[in-house]
Amino acid sequence: MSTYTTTTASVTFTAAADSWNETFDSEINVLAFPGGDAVAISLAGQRDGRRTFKALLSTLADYKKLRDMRGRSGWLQVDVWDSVPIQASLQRISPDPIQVDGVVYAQVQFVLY
Amino acid sequence: MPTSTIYTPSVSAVLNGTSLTGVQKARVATSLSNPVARLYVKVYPAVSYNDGDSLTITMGSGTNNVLSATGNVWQADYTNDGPTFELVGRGPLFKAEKYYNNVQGGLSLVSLVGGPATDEVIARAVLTKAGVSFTAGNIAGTGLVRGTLAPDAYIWKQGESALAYLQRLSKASLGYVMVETIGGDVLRVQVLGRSHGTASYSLNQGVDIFGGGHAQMDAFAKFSAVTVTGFNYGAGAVTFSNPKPIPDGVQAYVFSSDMIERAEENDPGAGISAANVARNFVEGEVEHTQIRVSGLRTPRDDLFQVGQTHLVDASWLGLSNQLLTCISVTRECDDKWFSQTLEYIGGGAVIEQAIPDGEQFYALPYQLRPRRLRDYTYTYSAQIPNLVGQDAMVPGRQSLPMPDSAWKIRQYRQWLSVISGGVISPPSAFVIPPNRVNG
Repeated sequence: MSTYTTTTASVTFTAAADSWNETFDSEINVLAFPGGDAVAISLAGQRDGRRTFKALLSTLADYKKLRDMRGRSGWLQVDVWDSVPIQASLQRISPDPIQVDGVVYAQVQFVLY
Repeated sequence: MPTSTIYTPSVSAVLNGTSLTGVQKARVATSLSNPVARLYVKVYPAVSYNDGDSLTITMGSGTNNVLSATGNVWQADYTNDGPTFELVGRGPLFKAEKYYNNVQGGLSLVSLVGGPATDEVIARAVLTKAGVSFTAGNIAGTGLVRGTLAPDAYIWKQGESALAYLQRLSKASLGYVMVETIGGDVLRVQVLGRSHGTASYSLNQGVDIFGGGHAQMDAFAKFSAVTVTGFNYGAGAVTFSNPKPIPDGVQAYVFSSDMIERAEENDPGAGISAANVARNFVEGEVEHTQIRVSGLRTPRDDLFQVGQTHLVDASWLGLSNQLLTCISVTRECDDKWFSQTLEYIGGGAVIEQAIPDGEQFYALPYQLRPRRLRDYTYTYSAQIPNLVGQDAMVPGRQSLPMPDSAWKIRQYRQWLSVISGGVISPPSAFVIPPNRVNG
């Protein structure tokens, strides 16, 4: 099982393998000098990571609780993938229509830091 | 593969001795035309401050992350986009800019310094009056005693700021002007408008100059004759022309300051003469085609400063190993780049003396005929706003903004909609035929 915890709430869910995406980005800018071949590369220092995956929430109430945890600083631990909780913020959550058994599949995106 | 240089922008700021956290960007603008440094620090979250708090900014692109400005905070800007918070500061000469003489009838040299005095002594007294801290030895001048013949010209006028008086004094001081150093010292030095024969730094096209530069070779401001006029004792202002008389058909460059007390060097009395100003200041400025460069932007973090001579080699700007005098520097660092945007003037013969190590300017001691100096006040920067300091990212030619179009697009309105409750009422005398009201 996986968990996402903030100071006000905690939600447990199952992370699905499909749609898994984890991208680490950095702010690197390249600018050319007119009239020559040289380029300037500016390493601005910003380095951010984003993790996107499908989460299986066992109840609609869990989904709503997780939805309300957007934009808050918290701790994410995805089973198998994270050995310890990592700092993260839920940026986006997009649910599929609710299943007949009451579970909710939702695409979630976390910003990692 | 192209050759590449790695830059790692860095910016930090200290407010009242405490390092700020969350500094997002900073900008420092200094120029000859405005000697008061302008400091901007964008920081989030917003910090508490008091008017006049000390502010220092350090920035660079990894090689030279050095102190870039020293000043005091006088403004805070909040926006709700983001949100953002920006501290705005000014250099130490801001005190002189804000200090106004309100003595009824003005302040004479007798009241200010006890009587006639050299321009450097007068300048020190004005700075002291304005509360600006300085080291006496840093306030240099021509050494000529002023106010013996025309004390009225040296009255610090009622309602005149200290900086305005100092700049008026500079106009009759062979180029001695007030400047600030990056470290926050106040100096009065003779700025040599013409470039030195030895450059402090060199910049090369295709290597360390970004796009957006603009160079002008301007002969509009070239004159073969000058006329300098001074104080008017009642029978017309003292005057000196070279050549004399001005040849028929020749336009002379006219330079005036009522603080010029004599016409010729051998005229009796003390004070600066019109001949001295003409020969040793004005002629050297206007006798050649002027080179003006603006918007020259580089990612280098060398400590470029106003008054330095730089060697610029950029064929796309028409500059072939050209020695130029730096007259404006804007240093800025944001979350993407550190860059410096430079303005230059140049042209004419260079001055041979090398700049002593550690000197921002070479202060030439007064001689009877020192090298000719540039009257930078004549450059078009007086006519075109210095946009470089406002937004260094503006590419291409920076000129006056176009006035708003006089045309206003007004939505077409049906006549009947107007008379049936529209904002614009028809004239009361206008009779609407009944058949039109009903359509």
